[in-house]
Amino acid sequence: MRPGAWLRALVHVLLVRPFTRWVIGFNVSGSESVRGLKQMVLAANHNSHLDGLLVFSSLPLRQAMRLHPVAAEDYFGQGDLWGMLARWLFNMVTISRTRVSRRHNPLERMQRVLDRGDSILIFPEGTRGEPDRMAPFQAGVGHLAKSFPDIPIVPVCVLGAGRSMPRGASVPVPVWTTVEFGSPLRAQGRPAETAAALEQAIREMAERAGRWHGAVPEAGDSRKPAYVAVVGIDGSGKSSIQRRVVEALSSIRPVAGIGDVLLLGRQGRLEDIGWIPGACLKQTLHRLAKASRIPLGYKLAKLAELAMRRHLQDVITLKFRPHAVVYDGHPLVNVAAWGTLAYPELFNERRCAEALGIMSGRGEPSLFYLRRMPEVLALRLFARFDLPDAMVLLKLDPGTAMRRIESRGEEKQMHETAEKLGRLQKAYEAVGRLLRERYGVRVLELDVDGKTLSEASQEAADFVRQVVECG
Amino acid sequence: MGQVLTSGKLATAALILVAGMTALRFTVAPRMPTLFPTTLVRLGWWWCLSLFVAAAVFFGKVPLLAGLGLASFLALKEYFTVIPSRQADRGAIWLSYLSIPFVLYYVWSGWYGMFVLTVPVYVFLLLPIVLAVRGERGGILLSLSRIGFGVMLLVYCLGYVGYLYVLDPRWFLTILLLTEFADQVQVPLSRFAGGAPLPVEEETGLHKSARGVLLSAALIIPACMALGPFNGWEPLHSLAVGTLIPLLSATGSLVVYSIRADIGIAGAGALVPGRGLMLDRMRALCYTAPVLFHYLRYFCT
Repeated sequence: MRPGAWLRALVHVLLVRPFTRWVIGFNVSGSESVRGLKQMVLAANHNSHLDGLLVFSSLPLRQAMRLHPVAAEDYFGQGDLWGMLARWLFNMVTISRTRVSRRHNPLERMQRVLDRGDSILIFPEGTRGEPDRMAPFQAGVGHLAKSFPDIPIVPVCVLGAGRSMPRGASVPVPVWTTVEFGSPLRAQGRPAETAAALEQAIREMAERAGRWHGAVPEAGDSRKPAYVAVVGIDGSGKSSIQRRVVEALSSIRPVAGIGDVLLLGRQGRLEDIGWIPGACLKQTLHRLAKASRIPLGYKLAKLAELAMRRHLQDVITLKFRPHAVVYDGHPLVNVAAWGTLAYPELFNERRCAEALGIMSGRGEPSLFYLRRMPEVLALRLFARFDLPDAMVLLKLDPGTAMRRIESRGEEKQMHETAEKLGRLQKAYEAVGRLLRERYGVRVLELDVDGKTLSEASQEAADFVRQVVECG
Repeated sequence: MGQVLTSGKLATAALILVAGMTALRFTVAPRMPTLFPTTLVRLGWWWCLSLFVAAAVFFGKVPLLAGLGLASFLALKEYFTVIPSRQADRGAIWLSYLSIPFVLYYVWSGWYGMFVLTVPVYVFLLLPIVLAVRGERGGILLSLSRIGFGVMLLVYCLGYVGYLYVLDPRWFLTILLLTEFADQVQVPLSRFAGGAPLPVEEETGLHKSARGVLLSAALIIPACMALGPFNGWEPLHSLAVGTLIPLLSATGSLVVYSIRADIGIAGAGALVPGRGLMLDRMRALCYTAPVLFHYLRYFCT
């Protein structure tokens, strides 16, 4: 070793490690997954400047001295004393967060480090963010993994550092931290998938150890799930298509399905969602609404059911943190379409768009709705659903739909005639157009005539996957 | 007899006791796991304790206070790790750590008035100010009670261990060793004696039952009576101290376990550093030291 390297090791042993061990304090677990590795890519969550220090201290000195954390050039790349010291002490690779192009490819510097046979510590969130909250992982680590398929990527979960020294703080507060190494991964398919798998692994570790750090990490994802609606007239097979979409999308992260029944897809399978308070009540309300013969009774029961559904959606989102929620017939879209049918003179295009905005909480309500359409206000107050980010609109010949409904052998509902279904279909199309033009919702019009269920589901799932991945 | 049994001899006896327990650990304990659970077997702690005691006896206050400060810091760090806190509480947490050297200084200089006042009055008054100037609303009262409790228990009450030494080194030795012994021995004794566990503790795996506590009193009262002449206590006071030690030790562990159960971390993981190791060693002392200090200061000086 060169004298500089000796000096660096000495500073680590005499200053950095005693500081992290005694003043801060850390527990290491899962260190057997990095034991003996000559070269690795460590991907850690990032809440604090201490993260790097803690990972360095939790590795054997021999491995730590060959580790290069990836740091932001705008922060550590400057010529000031602090930046120079940090770069020297931790062997930093600085990359630019702003000037990214083919010529300034930030991955190139990391690749050079790996080519030399050294290891990399990367924080795929890209920034420290809020304490104990994880931002979505960026795909860079996946690209790195793809170019070096032989180097194991180890997810590292650092907990408590954001509490000790959050962003903006200059002095750490002594509290214990945990550094946990997960089992090594290899590159999987697309770079984004590798990043998502790492993120998931770290999230799971954080959940297990979180209770030792003052709080269970917030169950809610900082990110909203993508809301997807599968809409169509009765008999178009939307429930089956919704099921299949949920199933197909859930290979990496959980997906929830909200409809007359509640679904949860995990690891490519539909799972039992378990007991959730209120699920029974929702089912009862649903039956009550179907059985009701007077419009007011139907409306009240339906409103209560939607409010319950909204509550269940919140519970499921908090509990399972799905990356997408797939609706079987979106409530707002249904209301808009039925409104267009029931009050053709009142519910013109402008009003329809306005009502959608009011129900989803994007627009401000006016007195008009209080007098003429209190349902809109009631939905806003009691069951505020978000507008879908994407919508799959199933199109089907009303005659075919009628035949399918008849073949079910159930008692037909009032609106189930070919003529009414045809008009409903037109109304759905109008609402879809409106959503696309006014609210930027991505809409797929899927003609299911003459397609098998699996073909149609495949097409819908591809579209939804694209939407979910592009955000 | 007070002349015959000196502090030096007691410290040596403590070392021999620990050596004996180490032997026990490797001979009998592995064969009788139910009677000797990990709590008794945790010898590293006894070694630390006896070295600490020996240092206090042979080198005086300074190593004692350094060790006490370290213990206080580590216990406080564990406490702040497990309690829920907000980002706005960082200042108050810092202030809590900062109160340790002040308390130690007042112990070292024997300034009784300031030692007794600093935490209950000045830190008590300062904590809400530090929280209030951050201006962040929501949960200030909760934070205040959580942080304030930690400082009171783990800085102020532990400070009495040091002040006992200032009062009389022999008393310090007696109470420290008997308290730790009581706290540790109550667990296997409770298993041995059976009986209903004290509240909250049933789900934690650490059993202390009323019968076990009584049994430990049956061990500690004679020990305390025997040490009476060495300490210079009347038999009546020896009896009182010997009764208080096991009772207060059980109280201390009960309180710390209630808090752990409240946070939701009772039971597992207590063997991992930072997850209650120090807190569990200190829990009994937090109760015995202040109460017995005031008892002895009133009746025996």
